[in-house]
Amino acid sequence: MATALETVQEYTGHEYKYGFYTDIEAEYAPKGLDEGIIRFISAKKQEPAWLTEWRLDAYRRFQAMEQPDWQKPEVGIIDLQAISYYAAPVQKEKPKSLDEIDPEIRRTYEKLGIPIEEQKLLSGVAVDYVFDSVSVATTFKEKLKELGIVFCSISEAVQEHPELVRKYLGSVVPQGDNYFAALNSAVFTDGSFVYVPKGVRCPMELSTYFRINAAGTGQFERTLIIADEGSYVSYLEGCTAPQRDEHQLHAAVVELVTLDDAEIKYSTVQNWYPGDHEGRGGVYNFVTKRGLCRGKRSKISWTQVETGSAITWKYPSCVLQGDDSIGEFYSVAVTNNKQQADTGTKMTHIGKNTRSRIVSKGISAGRGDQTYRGLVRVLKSAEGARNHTQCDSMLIGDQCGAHTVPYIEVKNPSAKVEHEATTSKISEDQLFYCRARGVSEEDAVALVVNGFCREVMDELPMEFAVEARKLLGISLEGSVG
Amino acid sequence: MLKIENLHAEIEDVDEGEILKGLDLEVRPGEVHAIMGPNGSGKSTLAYILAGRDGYEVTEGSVTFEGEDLLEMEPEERAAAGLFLAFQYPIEIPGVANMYFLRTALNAIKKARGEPEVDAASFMRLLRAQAEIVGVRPDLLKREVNFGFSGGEKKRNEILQMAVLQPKLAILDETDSGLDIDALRTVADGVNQLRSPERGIVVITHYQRLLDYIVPDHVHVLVSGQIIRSGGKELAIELEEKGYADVLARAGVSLPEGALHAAG
Amino acid sequence: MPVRRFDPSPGYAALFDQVKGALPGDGALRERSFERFQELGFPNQRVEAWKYTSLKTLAEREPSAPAQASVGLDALEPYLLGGDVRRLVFVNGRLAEDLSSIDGLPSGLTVEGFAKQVRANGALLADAEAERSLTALNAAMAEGGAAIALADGIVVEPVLQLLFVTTGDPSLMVNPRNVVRVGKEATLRLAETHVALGEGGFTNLVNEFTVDVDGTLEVDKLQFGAPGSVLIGQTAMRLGERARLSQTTITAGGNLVRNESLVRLEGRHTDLHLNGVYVPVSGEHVDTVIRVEHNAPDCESNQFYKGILQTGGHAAFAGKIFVDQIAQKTNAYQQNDNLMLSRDAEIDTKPELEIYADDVKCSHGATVGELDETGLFYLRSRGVDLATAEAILSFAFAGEVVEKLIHEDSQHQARRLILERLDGGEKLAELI
Repeated sequence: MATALETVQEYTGHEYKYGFYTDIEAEYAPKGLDEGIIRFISAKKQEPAWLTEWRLDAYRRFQAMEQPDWQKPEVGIIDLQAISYYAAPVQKEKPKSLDEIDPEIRRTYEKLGIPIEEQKLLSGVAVDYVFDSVSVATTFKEKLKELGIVFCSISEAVQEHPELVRKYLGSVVPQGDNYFAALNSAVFTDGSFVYVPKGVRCPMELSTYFRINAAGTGQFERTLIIADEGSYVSYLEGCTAPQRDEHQLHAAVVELVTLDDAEIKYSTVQNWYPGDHEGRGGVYNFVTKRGLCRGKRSKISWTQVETGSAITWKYPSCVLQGDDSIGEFYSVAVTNNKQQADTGTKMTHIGKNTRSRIVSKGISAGRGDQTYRGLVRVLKSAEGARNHTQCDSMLIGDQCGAHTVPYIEVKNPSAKVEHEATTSKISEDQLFYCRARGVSEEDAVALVVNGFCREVMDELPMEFAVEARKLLGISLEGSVG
Repeated sequence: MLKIENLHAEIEDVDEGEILKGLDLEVRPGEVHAIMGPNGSGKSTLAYILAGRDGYEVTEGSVTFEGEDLLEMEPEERAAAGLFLAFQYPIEIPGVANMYFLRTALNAIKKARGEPEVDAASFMRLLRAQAEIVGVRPDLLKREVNFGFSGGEKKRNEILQMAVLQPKLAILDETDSGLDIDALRTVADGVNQLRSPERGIVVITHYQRLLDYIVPDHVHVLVSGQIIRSGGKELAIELEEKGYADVLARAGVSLPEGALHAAG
Repeated sequence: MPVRRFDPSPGYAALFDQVKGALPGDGALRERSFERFQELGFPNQRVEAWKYTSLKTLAEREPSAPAQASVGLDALEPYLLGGDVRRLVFVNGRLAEDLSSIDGLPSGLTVEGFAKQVRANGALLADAEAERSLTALNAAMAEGGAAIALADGIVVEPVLQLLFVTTGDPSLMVNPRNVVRVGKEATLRLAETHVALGEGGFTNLVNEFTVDVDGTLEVDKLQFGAPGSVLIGQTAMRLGERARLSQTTITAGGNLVRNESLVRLEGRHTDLHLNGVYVPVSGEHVDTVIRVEHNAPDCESNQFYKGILQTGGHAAFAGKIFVDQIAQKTNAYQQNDNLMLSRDAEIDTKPELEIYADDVKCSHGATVGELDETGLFYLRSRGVDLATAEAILSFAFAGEVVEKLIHEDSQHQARRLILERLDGGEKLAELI
């Protein structure tokens, strides 16, 4: 019978399916970062003066900061002067309809399995397509407009809905929040903007598909979603990048705001290029995601399936300000080969009877290393706050690591906070049982891991769940132990 | 179809010596064999070795299944070749729906055999029908594999899997343990449904009880890793009446005290 | 780089200059240790291990040398263990021979004042390169403490009590150091008691416990603080193959108490149990920091800590299980449960796992909550007033850990201590 090691050696890791590069004429900003570049980006986007100033303010704060080093993965200082902060495919004229979009770009998204069209496959999903630094298309815009829902690129929102952008931009993640958020605030190029008006239930999933294509660039998108009183929206994001030997930086900021009785469900299937099995290349995914439950009885739910990236640092968080508001975090993270992930959440309970739930499932294989890092903070004002946290880690093979670092800070006696965590090996008994029923070793691992993650997978919208399940299996190929 | 010759085996990394000490057994299509023996005689070890579980080392001898070297095959290859083990302690797999598991297994086996996969609708029809026969409640199909099942439910679920996968050779490892008389009967009915001239069945059990319902063609007494006596179904009755001690004494074998007691 | 230290006040250097001539052992080593301490300073809250505990006021103090003080045995009565017990008493860091009694110890057990040991073997203080500044400070100034060595194969029946008493003004600083070595197949039971009389003072404790192959060490640790007392202690424990160590710590009182345990499981099949209860009331801060390193396969470790937080009380708990890549078949558990009885209390808990081996079973849990409503209601429906009902349930909550103390008198003292600190507890006193 094959030993674990032999099996691992037999499979040398999977091919990254989305690693191709689209050869397209693009326009770049010169490499490097200074005020001039920031003014260049702002001018390129014809932004109003307040936003240029906002960016420059962020840049000044950024300059006083240092790259953080408290995370588990060790990263050298990233040379931010070696990056070009703007890369966009050259478009002769702004396309008036989806049909006029550059065929190369169309083909790219077809290859990625998310064609730019408003029918067939993704009929229930409206998509904003972000290609390097710019949004290249948004589907179902008109149909959503009829309901008063704004779904467009953030650049467009700055032009069309400046009052909303100005009111909410930075209201959840301030410019000086942290090093990478400050950098993003200074140089963000595009991203999605959603506004759901009072009492409207968005009838379809809204989605952004992020694609890094150009070399020597990073992606610094900014997403802002506002759910007005009594509204509901489910939003999905997906990401891929070409296979390259150098690391690429992705430093996004996502801000969510829910007013009274509103709900945002935010799902991510993150599949940035993870690097090869020797750890060459791959995306550095350093993202700040935070939701503010401003209104009473509002709810923000984060679901993430993290299978890609060489290094992931992200902590989608909820600030539960409104009384009776609810925050949720469901996460599956897989690290294989030499991937590292340091991810988790922060739940800050401010309002009365606020509730939060955290379910984190970490799977570490190969030489992967993974950390759950979370904070549950109950302030004095949060009468009757509740939190339940479940963190489970599964190890596949004896070269990987799994770590759990939860912080619990409670200042209110009526709070009830429970944290449970377990770490164990993938069960040999379960694998054998599957195999004795005819399921191959690789499929048995996928099956058992999917079962382990089920609580989280069940939270994903249907359209994503199937894809995510497959992705889990693919990410673990060659990891059997 | 199954031919075991001079099988010697031990547990890896444990200094307990051989568990199986030269075991011979041949099962032909259509036959039902019962292997009986006291605790610690090597019954479960034999079952696990046949199914290909890690942790056992075959030091001597051979096992062929339809002429192929079984010991060289991976567990899933054995399943695809038509071998099925009903576990003494079925494993719980949280998060995986029972019916999804079974469909995955069935299609994996079909694929390995080059047969077309079964679509969801026909699978459900098949599953429902079989579930009724073996007495598995419909809600158990939707639940997670063996998770939170009672002892009886787990055993029935094993028989359901066997009924769906239609193996050529089924090995039932202590399938009767922990069952009340009604459950025993339904499980036995399920097994009897599967009796056919093409199929071999090996029933491993401690007690004769199950053999009232699944009547074997051959009975073997396994003691200390060897088959010390073989006979027809009357041997099981003899064992029940006289106990292992008597049978052993006549075979000139002595057992440690504990084992005898357990054999009761 | 952000500053990660508080500068010690000049008083620390002044005190060192004042006392160094009289310190036992190698003077040059003492100097180096003190330099190391100055170099490191006191860690501030940017240092992860000190996130919830501030040493600012401690750093700003002008420490003084403990004055010679005499304490009568009767004043210590509430803290003494009865029955077959031997004890060493240290008053303000110095061995008080008149209060100690170590007669009739079995041969093979050596119990000496640390000062005497250090004179004989300077290497005992080889912490000049310490990473931990408080250990360096202790190495520079340690004067008292116990040096205990138990030879192979000896099982000691009497419990050995080490009683540390501070008296006098809060500015005094003592640096006790205990070195305990349990030989192969030997068994020792210790009771380590810290008592602050008067206003307290700063005790900077360093313990080193080593348990050799098949040895057993059981420790009851009781801490009776005073409003102004600061007790910061680190106990480094090393366990050899099949060694067993269990320690139960009861902490009550003190302006600041910090118990650090650093455990290295170095042989296979070791068995570790760390238990504790902390009950801070107004103005008190209790910080528990544990690091259990599984450096060998097949070991088991358990951490079981409970906290009762009352008005103005603040507690922090950080327990870490580290499992090395070679430590397969590790079983490691940790549970930290906290009862919060007041709006003006705070608990910060951080149970942590760092795991590099795959064939392990590790789990941790932490809870924070108030008393069970139904339990309270049940008691009240039987006529018990609310305060007493709360005290009964809180007391029961701690009981599970208190029971793990090995000496009956330790249990008794612990119960008394906890009750004294619970509102409504006085009515329960007769129950124990």
